[in-house]
Amino acid sequence: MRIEKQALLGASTERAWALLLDPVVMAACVPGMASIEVISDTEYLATIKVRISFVSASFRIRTTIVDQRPSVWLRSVGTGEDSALASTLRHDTQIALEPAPEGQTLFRVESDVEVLGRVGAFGLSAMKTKADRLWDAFVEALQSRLAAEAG
Amino acid sequence: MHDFDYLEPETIDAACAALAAGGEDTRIMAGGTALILALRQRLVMPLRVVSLSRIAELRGIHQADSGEISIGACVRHADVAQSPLVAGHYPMLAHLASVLANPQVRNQGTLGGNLSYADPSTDPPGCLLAIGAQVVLRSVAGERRLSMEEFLVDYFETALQPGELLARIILPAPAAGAHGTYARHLRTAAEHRPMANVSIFSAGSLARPKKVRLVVAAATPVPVLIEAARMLEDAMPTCAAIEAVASAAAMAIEPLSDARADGEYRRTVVRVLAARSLAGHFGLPGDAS
Repeated sequence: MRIEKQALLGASTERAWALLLDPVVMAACVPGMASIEVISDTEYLATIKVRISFVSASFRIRTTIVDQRPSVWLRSVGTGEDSALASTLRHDTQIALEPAPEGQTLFRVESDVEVLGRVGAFGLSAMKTKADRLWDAFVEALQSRLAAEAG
Repeated sequence: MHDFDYLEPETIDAACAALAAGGEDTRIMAGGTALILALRQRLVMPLRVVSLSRIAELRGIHQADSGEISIGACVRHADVAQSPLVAGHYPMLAHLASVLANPQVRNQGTLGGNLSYADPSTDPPGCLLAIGAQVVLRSVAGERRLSMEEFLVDYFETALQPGELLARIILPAPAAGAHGTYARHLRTAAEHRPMANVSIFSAGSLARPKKVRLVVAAATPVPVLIEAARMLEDAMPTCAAIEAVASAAAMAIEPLSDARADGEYRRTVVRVLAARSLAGHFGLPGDAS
């Protein structure tokens, strides 16, 4: 499943970059993020819970930043699993930040996500739509945080 | 399928107590048409399943002195379709229930189960929103009554909280001159899940409606009440006005875009379906394309 998203953030690219790499901010803004642990400067271990009606999945995902140009671009890869549902998830994600008019930042994400196992049986359409909804909630939370900072 | 305790309480209070005691590892089962599939695929592995099948309070369709019609959450779609009360006052809902899914689902699935599952690609939620229905939720903490707008929160997500169950669906007291139309688009005649549907509910004369509610569903993550339809209120509906409302409806939605159909196609289907349905509802010629 390929996910391509973009949003305008009300902050400079430097500020947006700092927020996106701040585990406390991510824990607060990513929907369903139950915990995040910093393993090193480039490695994170996060537990994310996703619910579709009465079906809940809880993926423990280890993500590594494999390449980056600070404040401009990064690529990360990660794998995770929900052992209860015998399901695995893999992602290869690129994030790009570009200056936009009025001090804003264009935040773009391209991610290839593979979900295997029982959760995959829920269907690509449902997972894609759920991913869209989670993205909307994430951007809204991020924008609210930036608006509160600007204040 | 893995082992679990199967509980069959006989009252709503007992069911709520079982839910409260069971916590996250408990699931409610009404008709079971969705839950059994998930259990068989081991997408859910609860320790307890609370069946609502023996709770008489959750069945039956009654009209209160206030005129409101109460449908128990465990009333099957086939029962809704055959109810003289529903057919007499809300024929659009009876019609919908008669064509929903397939005969197996209509004879096993329940209205409350359908709403609680919150699958967007289904028929009842949009229709009930257009009608102005409410739902009654119960838990050990008591009862609360929500509008459909409040209940349908997001994609596969309702306002039901842990430990809460849907007990009844309340249709408002029938209004004078109330008139409803439900129409849906299936990708193929053999498909059971609508790709888009529209529900229209008006009160007052069809020649000069006092209230018009148009809802688009199935094409969207949650049903959407189209505000632009109010331009048809207190005026004589015309083909031009209907075209304008249908176009506004198509532009107002954020359509689902997935393997079944992309968003722009759904938007086009919604515009055409809304235009045709509004024309049919108000007895006007019209076959927008």
